Formats: sequence, C-alpha cells, structure tokens
Amino acid sequence: MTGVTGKTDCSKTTRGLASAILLSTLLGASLARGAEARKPTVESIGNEVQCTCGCVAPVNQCPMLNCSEKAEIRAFISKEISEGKEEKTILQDLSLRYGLQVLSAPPAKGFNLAVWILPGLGLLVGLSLVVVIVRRWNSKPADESPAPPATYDPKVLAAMEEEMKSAGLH
Amino acid sequence: MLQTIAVLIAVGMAVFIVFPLLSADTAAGPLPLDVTLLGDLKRRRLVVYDNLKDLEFEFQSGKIAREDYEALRTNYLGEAAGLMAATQEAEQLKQDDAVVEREIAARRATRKSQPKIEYKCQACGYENPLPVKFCGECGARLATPGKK
Amino acid sequence: MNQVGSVGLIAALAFAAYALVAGAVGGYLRSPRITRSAERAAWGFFLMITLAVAALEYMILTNDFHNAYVAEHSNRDLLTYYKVAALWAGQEGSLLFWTWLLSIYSALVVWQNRRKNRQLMPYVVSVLMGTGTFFSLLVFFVANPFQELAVATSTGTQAFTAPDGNGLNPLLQYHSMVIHPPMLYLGYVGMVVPFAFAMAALITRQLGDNWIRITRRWTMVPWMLLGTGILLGGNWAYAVLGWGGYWGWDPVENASLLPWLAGTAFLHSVMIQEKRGMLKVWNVALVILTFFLSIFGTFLTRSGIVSSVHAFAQSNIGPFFAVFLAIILFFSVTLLFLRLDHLKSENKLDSMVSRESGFLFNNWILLALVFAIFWGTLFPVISKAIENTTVTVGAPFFNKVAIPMGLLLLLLTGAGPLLAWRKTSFQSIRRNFTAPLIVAGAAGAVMFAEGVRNLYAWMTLFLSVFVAVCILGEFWKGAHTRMRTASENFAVALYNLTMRNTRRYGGYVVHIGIVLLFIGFAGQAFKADTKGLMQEGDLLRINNYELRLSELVSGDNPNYEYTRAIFSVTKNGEAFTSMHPEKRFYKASQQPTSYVAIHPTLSEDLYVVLAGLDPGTNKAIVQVFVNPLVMWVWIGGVVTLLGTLLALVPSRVEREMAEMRLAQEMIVQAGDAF
Repeated sequence: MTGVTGKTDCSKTTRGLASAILLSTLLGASLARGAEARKPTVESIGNEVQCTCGCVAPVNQCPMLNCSEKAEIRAFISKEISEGKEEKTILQDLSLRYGLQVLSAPPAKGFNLAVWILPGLGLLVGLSLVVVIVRRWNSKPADESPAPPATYDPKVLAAMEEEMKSAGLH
Repeated sequence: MLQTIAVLIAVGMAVFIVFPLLSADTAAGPLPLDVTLLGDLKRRRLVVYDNLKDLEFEFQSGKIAREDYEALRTNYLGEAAGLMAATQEAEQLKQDDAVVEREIAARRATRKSQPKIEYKCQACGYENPLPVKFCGECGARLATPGKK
Repeated sequence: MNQVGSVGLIAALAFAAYALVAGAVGGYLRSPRITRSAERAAWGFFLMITLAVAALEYMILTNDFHNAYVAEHSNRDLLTYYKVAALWAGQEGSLLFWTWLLSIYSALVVWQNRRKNRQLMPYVVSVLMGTGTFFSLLVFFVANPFQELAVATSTGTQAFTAPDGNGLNPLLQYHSMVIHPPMLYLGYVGMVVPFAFAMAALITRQLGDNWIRITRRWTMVPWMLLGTGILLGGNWAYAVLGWGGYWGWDPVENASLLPWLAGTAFLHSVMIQEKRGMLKVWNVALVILTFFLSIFGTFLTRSGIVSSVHAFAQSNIGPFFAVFLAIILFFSVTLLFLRLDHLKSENKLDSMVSRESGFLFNNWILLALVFAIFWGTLFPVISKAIENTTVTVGAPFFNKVAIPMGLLLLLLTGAGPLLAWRKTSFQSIRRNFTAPLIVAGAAGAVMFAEGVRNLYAWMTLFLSVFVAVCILGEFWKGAHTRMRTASENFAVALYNLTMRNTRRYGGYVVHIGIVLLFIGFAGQAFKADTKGLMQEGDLLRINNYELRLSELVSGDNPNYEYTRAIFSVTKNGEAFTSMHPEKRFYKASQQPTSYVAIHPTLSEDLYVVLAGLDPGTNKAIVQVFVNPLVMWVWIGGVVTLLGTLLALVPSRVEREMAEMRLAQEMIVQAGDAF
C-alpha cells in the first residue's frame, strides 16, 4: 500500500519555512528589546523600580493615595536625570540607596543570573524534548499501519459501508 | 434549638449514608462495567468515521493535497475494517450460549478475586474481565485463552 | 448560629473522611453497596457545608457582630450586595467558600454519573472527598470562621458583641469584585474533577479514552470560569486601583494564570489522544500539573510566602498546604509511573508538518511559559533562602520573558488550524498560507506607514491580522464547501458547519477572542498619561483631549464620604463628555480609596483619577491616562467565553456516542440487578 511515507522533500522545505518563521519571530523579539534603550525619563525608570511603601507595585503603579515613598523615589530619579546620568547608573544609585529589592528585576549577575537564564533554558529543554518525542514517534515500525480494506471479508466491508452511511458518510 | 436541628440533620444524613451498607441485598453483583467490548469497538469506529469525515471535508475545501488524501483515506478505511472484523467475531462469540455462561461465571469470579490473567492483553497489559478474543482496551487480538 | 456552623463543619468533615475511605474500599471490593454509601456521603458533605455557609451568611446579613469574622469583614451600612460578598472577603470565609464550591462540584459529579462510569466513580468520590477532607480540616481547626469575638481582660478572654463591624475592604466594594472571586474559585476548585477522573482511570487501569472524554469537558468548564475570573480581576484592578492598567504580574495574578495555561495546554493535547491515541502519559501529566498548580495558587495566595497586593492576612496555613501539595504530587506521580505500561501510544506521527506537531509546539510554548512565570514568581523566595538577599521580580521581567513567547503562541493560534491532521504537503501549506500572509503583510505595511514603530506592538498587530484571516478563512472555506456539496446558502452552511463540529468551530471562536485580547494588549504600547494640580476652571490637556475641572463637590452617605471632581471634556475642540472621578473615605474601615472615572470607546479609554486634594493649596491632584484599545481586552474575553460555551454544546458525533453509551448502559444494567 502507499501508506504514509513520512519525510519527503516537500516536508523538508516546509520545515525550513516553519523554522524561518520561528527564527524571525525570535529575532524580532530580541531586536525589540534593543529598541527599548532610550533616554531615561522619570516615567520610564518608574516602571523599572518597585515602590518601597509595601504596595508591591512599580513606583508608577503604586495604588496608595498618600504614598510618601513614591514621591521621594521619583524626586530622586528626576534629580539624577537632571544631572545627566544614564538609566543604568540611576538604577545602580537607587539600589545602593534603597537596597536591591527596589529594582523590579534583579541585575543579571551572580546567583541572580539564574532568574534570567532559566526561562530560556526551559524553552530549550522543552524544544529538545519535543524533538526527542517526535523522533521516537517517527522511528516506530511502519508495519503497524492497518491492512488495506480490500483484504477483509466482504461481509465486514458491507457492514462497515452500512455503518458509514448511517454516520453520514457516503 | 437551632443547634439541635443541625445535629438532627447531620444524624439523619448519617443514617441515610449508612443505610446501603445495612441492606441485606446480597444479590447485588459487582459494579457494572463502564465500557463493554462491543461498545468500545463501535465507539472507536465512530472516531475513525469522524476522522474520515474531517479528511473528506479538508480535501474538499482544498486544505489537503489529493495524494495525501488518498493515502490517509485508505489508511483510515483499513483501520475501520479491522475494528468491524473484530466486532463481528465478538458478536459470533456472543451468540454462543456457552459464552454467556462463561461470562456469568467470570463475573461471579471477579466478585471474589481479581480477573483471570488468561485474558491479560499481551499488547497493552490490560486485564480483560471477560473471556474475549480482542482486548477491550486496545483492540489487539489476544492469545487463545487457556481454558475454552 | 456559630454552633450551627460548627455542627455543619464537623459533620462535613466526618462525611468527607468517611467517603474518602468508603470510596476506596468500595472501588477495591467492586461493591455497589459501599460505593452507593460513599456517594451518599458526598451528598452529605455538600449538605453540611451548605448548612455552615448558610449559617455564616445569615450572621453576616443580620449584622451578628458577636462572630469575629462578621465583625472583621462587614458592617451595618454595607450594601446587601456587598454583604453577601463578605463571605469570601477574608481568610476563614473564603476557605469555607472554597470548600463549599468543592462540595457543589462533587455533588454535581455524583449526580451526573449516578448510572454511568460505575467502576470509576468510587475512586472519583474518594479523590474528591480526600480534597474535601483536607479543606474541611483546615476550615475547622486552623481557620474557623465560627469564632466568637473576644477581648482580653485581666481574668482571661471574654466574649463580647461589637456595636458595628470593621467593614468590607473598600477596594473590594466594586461590582466585578463580587463575581471575580467566585469565578476564580470555581475555576481553581473545578480542576479537582479532571484530576479525580484521571486518578480513578489510573487506579482502575481503564485508560482508554472514556476518561479522557469526561475529563476534557470537565476541564473546559473550570478553564472557562478561571479565565473569566482572571479577566474580571483585571477589570477590577483597572477600574479600582487607579494606575491605568489591568495586569501587573503580581504573584497572585501569576498564580491564577499558571493553572489556566496548563489547562490550555491540556485542552489542546487532549485532541491528539482522542483522534490519534497518542500522548497518553503527557495528558495525564498535564491534568496532574493543572490541579497541582490550582492548589499551589491557593497556597501562594494565602501562605504569605510571597508579598502581594492581595493582602490576605498572613497566617499559619502555609505548612498544611505544603503537606497537601506533597501528598498530591507523591500520590499522582507514583500512580502514573505504576501505570506507564497502560499508556502506550496507539499510533505514530506521520509527518513533522501536521496538526499533531502544531499541538506539540503549542504545548511546548505554553509549558515553557508556565515554567518561566512559576520561576519568576518564586525566585524572590529562592533568592532569600539561598543568597539571603531580598530581590524583586516584577512586571518588566515577566514582560520581557512572556511577550516573545506570547507572540509565538499567537503565530501558532493561526498556523496550527491550517495544518491538516497527520500530514500536510508543501503545496497545501503554500495554498493555505499565501492569502493570510499577503493580507497581514499589507496590514503591517499600513500600520508602519501610520507610524507604528514599537516592534512588539507591530508584530502583535501583524500576527493578529494573520491569525484572524486564517481563522475567518477556515469558516469561509468550510461554509463554501458545504454550499457546494450540500447546496445550502451561506448562512445555513455556516450554521451547519459550526453545529456539526462545535468543538472545532467553538475553538476557532476562542482563537478569535484570543486575537482580540492580544490587540488589546498591543494598545499598552501607545499609552499616554499626564498629571496636574487643578482648581475649579483649570484645564488639563492630553493628546487631543481637554479636561476642564468645572466643579469640586463634597458629600456624604452612610457608607463613605466623598469629594467629587466634575470635568467637562472636549475632544478636538468639540464637546465630548463629562466625567466624575471621586475620592472616597470609607467610615467603617477608616480607609480612603479613589473611584476612577472611565470613558471607554472602541479605540481608546479616557481614564481620570482624583488622587486627592493637595493639603497646602487644596487643589485637586488629578491623573489622566489615555489607554488605547483596552476595550478589546474585555471584548476578547467575552468572545473567548462565548466560544468556549459553543465548544461545550455537544456536536452530532458526540450526541451519537452519548446515545450509544446510553444503550450500552441499559444492557449492562439489565445484566446486573443493581
């Protein structure tokens, strides 16, 4: 029987196409991160810094109405900006003043590197798992595909035809 | 007062719960089966027909190439025919009165013990509770049962 | 009434514990009598927990302030509507509420299966009631809502009745907050049902696809409710918290997202098992993971191990949950390993380019996302334990990680359905993808010309158009095929197409909803906001809006005092609307909140917050946001909900199978004098 042959040239091409789409999406995503580097403003840094009043939200999003910490941190940021400091330096100064927990994500150094690395690692491990599973499926012996219908008793085929008709198949 | 009512409700409920245990109805057999062999075969055929219908539809709406369509169609039809053959054999067996007797005997046996290993499927390991030629779980043909 | 509640709890605990044991014994001995008794105990559990809930709700509604919980979470002048919600406003009440929902689900399952799945049911009851035993233990011994209010005196503590309660947290006094927790809880709790069926199937070795069909439907319901709950929570945050957003990657928000994502993965991979008999182990693992994450979410919300805006009183229930989680994990994973032989794949993968592989990639991204969010949420705890440094992992981290993965998922949302089952050849791919890519490319060019420069936003919109064209194309092509083969007109063809395969086309509608959600998310890139100190007559400009503060009014009602700012707004110089944000001060709880004024339109929301009055000058502190496309998030949510409901309607094949099962059932029934 013709069966299903698995890999053909066509599927290779499509695989190439699929991975090209995938790659360009990932590439685009990493480009977008690069595009984020702009001149710092109180607002842009306020998104990267946690409010210290206990509200557990970024400074820009602190829901407390009479939060004094928010104003203080913002004043500190705007002072640093007016001194012409860069975003990186400002964030460093903030963490010196308020402690590391003021940054909304820890700097990618030392142990804290793990928080950034593991999601990527998870993605890769997952992908390799998918590939392994697919390989195993593909390598299953092909003789498991059912025998062509013609080899069966006509009585069987007649019963099947009838059932198919009642199931809405011609 | 209210507390007493609450306690009474709880006690009433407890009696309701324990009641089936006290019933002298020892004639009740083991728990009925969830899936019978014939039902399972039929259901699996319906899934194949459903797949066939999908395939047909995808072919007609231009989603799938003719070559793929034909290969897959033969494949599905073969699968369905295999299942139908299994059904007919099982039905043949069922018509045999002795089989009915054996089924009853097997059911009586399961009340006291685990299912006989003779009906354990070589392919998937499922222990069929009834004497069957085809596994109730995966449909594979079973080795001839030890006792006939 | 406290005594009534306590009686209810004790009896419920006893019934649950009994059902846990009786179910297991009944299943092991295959005894209909013991099974029947265990099922009745599940009914008893439902009845007694209902009694306890009724007792607490009665005390709340009648202002019975000698109960500590009522005094803490309600007050006399609270609207009745919110009084009902006080049941789940605090730790003790919400745990009781959780347990009650569990008892409702259990009763429903027992009733639905009163004549079906007799072999599975004893174990299903046992697992459900095992969970019930844990929660009623917790409610009775650790977080009991039926305690008398007491004051410490020189001779010990003495009961007393408070004249009025502390009131409901004012932040919770918002309409979507009344239904958000019940929805979310229904979602969390409901995941116990698929778990129970999976465990029962593993125990009885009935791992054909009977259990997977039951489980799929029973996952869709809580999945839908959980998703709705999450969005209602976002809606609450948006309308009440006043920072102009709806999602902040707060640990508790993440906790609710995790089981939803795992459930999404299951709902996709389950199709491979139903159609092709593959991925059996993986599906069981996903059911376990989903349930584990649901309980884990509850644990995270209440144990106080991570800091969160959802300020549940930190309490001592953490360790109990940790033990319960460990039991679930040990029990289910062991069972899974013992049954690996029964979970072999029936088929093989025919081609790398097929619907099956599309689902695999979908699962890959979803699970990677679950892992990344899980990791980021717990990292502060890990860092504290290992490095002893306190760090924060906040929104920027999650955005950086989740947005690229979300975009990949969005791509698959459109591309997956275009791949045929088993095998798709290159010609077919070219034929199916050309039109969507051309339309999306054109839309992308237009958006670029219109000045969309944010890459993420551009990609989201580009992919959204791509997916929308793919899915609408599926409807269009399907309907036209029917028009050709069955000679129906377009509307009839579309209706028949959908109703014959509600799962598939309901699923497509869900995908459209997801696209709309992503379009709403993309709007975040174009937010604008401004702030001002204003007195009556002052103007504030943002984009093409002008807000004039025409009046500041103060007032009072039994529940709160307020200051209301009345703005008349013009857009492009023409009269547009008037808006009335308030700052409120709730009397019972002595807490201030703000009431945000939102003018929603399809293209953008105008969002005005009165943050307060400047103490020195008595000028109003006003914050204004323009939030583009937010409306599409809510619309997307509604479409997703409708799509799921559509997918839950039994299609023709499913009805046929149900009939067949019924016939089969009757044969079995006749055979046994049960």
